[in-house]
Amino acid sequence: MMDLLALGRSGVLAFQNALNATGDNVANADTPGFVRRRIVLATQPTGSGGPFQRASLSGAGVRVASLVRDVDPLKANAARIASGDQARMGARLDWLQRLESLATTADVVGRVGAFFDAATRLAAAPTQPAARAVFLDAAEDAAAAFSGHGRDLEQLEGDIRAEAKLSTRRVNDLAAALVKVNDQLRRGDKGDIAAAGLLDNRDRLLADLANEVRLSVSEGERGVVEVKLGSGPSAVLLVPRAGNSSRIGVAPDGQSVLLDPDHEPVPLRLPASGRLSGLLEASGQIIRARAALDGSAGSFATLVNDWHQQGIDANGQPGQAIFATTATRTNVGKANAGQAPVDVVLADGATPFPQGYRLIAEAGGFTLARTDNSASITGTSPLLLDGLTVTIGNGWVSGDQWTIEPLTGAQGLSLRPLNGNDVAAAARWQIDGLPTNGARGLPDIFDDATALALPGGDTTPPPWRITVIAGGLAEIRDPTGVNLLATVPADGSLIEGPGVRFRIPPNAAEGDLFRIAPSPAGSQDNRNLLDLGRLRAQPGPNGTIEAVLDADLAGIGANVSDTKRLEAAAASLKEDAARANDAVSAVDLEREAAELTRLQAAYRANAQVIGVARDLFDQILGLAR
Amino acid sequence: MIPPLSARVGHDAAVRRLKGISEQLAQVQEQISTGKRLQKPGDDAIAFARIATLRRANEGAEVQRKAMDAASTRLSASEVALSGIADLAARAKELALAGRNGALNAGDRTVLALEVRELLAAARGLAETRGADGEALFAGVGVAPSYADDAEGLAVWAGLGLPPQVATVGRRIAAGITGPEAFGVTAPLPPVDPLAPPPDPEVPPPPRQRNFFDSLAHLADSLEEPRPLFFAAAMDEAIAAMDNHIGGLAGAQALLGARAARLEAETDRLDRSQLEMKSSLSKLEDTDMTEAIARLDRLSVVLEAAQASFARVSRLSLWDDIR
Repeated sequence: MMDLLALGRSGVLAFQNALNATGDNVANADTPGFVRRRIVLATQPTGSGGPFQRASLSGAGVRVASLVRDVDPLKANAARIASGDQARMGARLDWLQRLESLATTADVVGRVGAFFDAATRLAAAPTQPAARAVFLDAAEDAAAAFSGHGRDLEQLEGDIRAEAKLSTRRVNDLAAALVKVNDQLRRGDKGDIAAAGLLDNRDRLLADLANEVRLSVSEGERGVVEVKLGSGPSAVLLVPRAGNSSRIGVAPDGQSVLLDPDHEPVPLRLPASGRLSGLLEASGQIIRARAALDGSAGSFATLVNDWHQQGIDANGQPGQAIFATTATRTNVGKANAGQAPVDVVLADGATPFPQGYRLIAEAGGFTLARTDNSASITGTSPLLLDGLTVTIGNGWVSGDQWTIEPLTGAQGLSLRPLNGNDVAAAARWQIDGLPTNGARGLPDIFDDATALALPGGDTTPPPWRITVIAGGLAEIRDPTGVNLLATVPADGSLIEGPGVRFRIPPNAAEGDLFRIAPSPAGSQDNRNLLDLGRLRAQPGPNGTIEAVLDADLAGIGANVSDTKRLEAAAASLKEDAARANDAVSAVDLEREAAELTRLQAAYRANAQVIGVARDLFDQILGLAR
Repeated sequence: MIPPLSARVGHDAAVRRLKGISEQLAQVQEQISTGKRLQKPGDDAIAFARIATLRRANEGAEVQRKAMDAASTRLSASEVALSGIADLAARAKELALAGRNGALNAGDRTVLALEVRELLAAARGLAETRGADGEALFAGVGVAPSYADDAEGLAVWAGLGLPPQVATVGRRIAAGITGPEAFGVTAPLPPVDPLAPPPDPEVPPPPRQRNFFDSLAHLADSLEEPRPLFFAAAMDEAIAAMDNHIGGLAGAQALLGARAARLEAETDRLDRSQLEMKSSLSKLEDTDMTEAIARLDRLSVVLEAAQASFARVSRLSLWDDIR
């Protein structure tokens, strides 16, 4: 009878615990990383049958054997890996989409095209001041497209580098936390509620860590884990079973990872999984996009500047460069106490020192120096050095510092201070001949610095008047026709002149008259502008400038759409793996409800057993009465 | 196995599916409202690059058409001026023929000479015709004036080079005509040979090639020539020159007409290729409205059904039955 009471008691207590575990599960149904707990029951060992305890025939009841976390290490590992793969693609997609949206909105290629179109428009009205102003506007807009997009990309690159750095810091922090959990697990008990909590904690840390980098985890005694970066024999140990974790950091190139970055940096090859590797991949793409933009900006500026210098502007002067390719940026020192504004103006055409300048404010005056101290100037504001004019406003404090760095590539591109008359619409030379000439063509002429003088040594430049005479020769005279400068062959051969080379058409007949003259000021010639149209269509090594820009944009687009597809695949894999893992480990409220009903019934039955025992006991007591 | 909604992963998966349908709906909505199927290069990189090329070609064609319009305007302005001058030339020839008639006396011929000088002034005026931007039409690339007087008192072309051009596919068309092409040139006098005997004052000078303006001046001078022998020779020369110039001006007008026709043909070609480009562009980037709206309908039905069934299923619970 007492046995029955004890049996009932043990049952009630055991099922109480089981009900508690279920209640705990329900309460934690939405806790991330919580693994479903289950009570495993075992029969109570029966008594040994000694003098004070007789051997029980009816069994000794039930006890709580252990608290079990419903976990399948293989499935948990698969879920971790799948989530890392998805995190890689997710991070890559996110940043590539930012790059894509920046590149699409900047519309560099459209604005470059608008510049070329403005040249065609100006060619239709080369003497119109409004068309000249519009052309310069379009040039400024094209330069702004390059420099603005260059600035945006630099910002984006800075952002993604910072994010990758944060990611490595997170890896380091999580690894350090895992070391602590390992310590506690080693010290703690096995199979109690505290250990289960610690293990949940450990799994949560592992899941977070696997989100950043690919891991291989091996579990030891009491759930202590060893974590390696990547897999295989050469994988680097991140968290040892005992001892401190390793640290990682982003390499200065922004595209790879270093082990132990602060002391003895070793380049590390990360497997292609985890957010960090996705960030580094996207960072590489952004760095390449920046380099490509800088390259395009350079070739655009070179093409346009070289072209423009071939022409003659409305003042009759040779064309100047349209674009400046260097700009400056002023960085305020981090420790500056003052608030003085610094204005830096780079003189037109000046080339600043490539390594930049340092500006220091002291009570005695300002000092502007090249970073390598090869040149410097001390005095009051404004300071002049290498074509830089630096003006320091009020509000500086002695000891304030600034650095001035030159910007090249896309960011350095800007329109030089030109006005409409400086646009070189006309070709360098104008050539004409009598309508009655026997020759079908006209002479041609081009600049050549290696040419020095006409045959015979005369160095009078055009304007010339060329008359074809008997014997396949031609006389070169000044425009009045009085002074004979040279007699040259009229057979189509190349003839040297002062700074130019020219040829007279081979089919010229005796008596033919030609004139060669430099383009006059205010000329209505548009041949130089028409040449720009030809240069626009002329492919470089990778196609025309616009085709290269198009291809860059298409490359980003293709990368985005690839990544999008891969991300969708990785996400569904992640979902599958998580589903398989959760089927084992996660709390399903329906199942808990069913469990609860079952355990409740068992609890009630055990309580009933106690009731029956009490009834029996009462009956026996009644017999004694 | 599909996880039940009561488990977190099942619930999340269901919500994600609903979100996916909403995103697709939003995308279709954007395609309909912007009328563009492709919004970003990532939507279809190759098509996007193709669109960029087509759009650039289309814009280039637009600008090209404007340039050719300007060139056409310049050509027709030149043509108008030339036809005015051709009328003057015809009138000058009538006057020359009338003056050659022996029935007129010196006074009559002086009146004719006066009228010829008027014609000359009018012709010089027309030769200075300016285009839309104030550029001298017959000065080649040079600046106004097109014609100046030299030391001899002759009209000399003050321009330079060839007229401005307009670039078309593969070739450049001159948008105008130069003075010498339209009006001829005056041959310079041969240098005076100091050893040659002086010219015989009784023999008229040999004929000389002159431009239109100098021919008019020569005609006027000839009409006033008192020596009969000289008068006959000079008038014959002037009438022949005038015939020549009338032919030359007609030729110049024909040349301008031919250039205008080339531009027109080029404009036509441009129109056709632009139409072609626009239709390719539309095929590549425009939303197919019928398809998109049908898709929008279908997606919204699917979304509603999914939401309803989600709500329905998540309402079912064993917990309601636990007491």
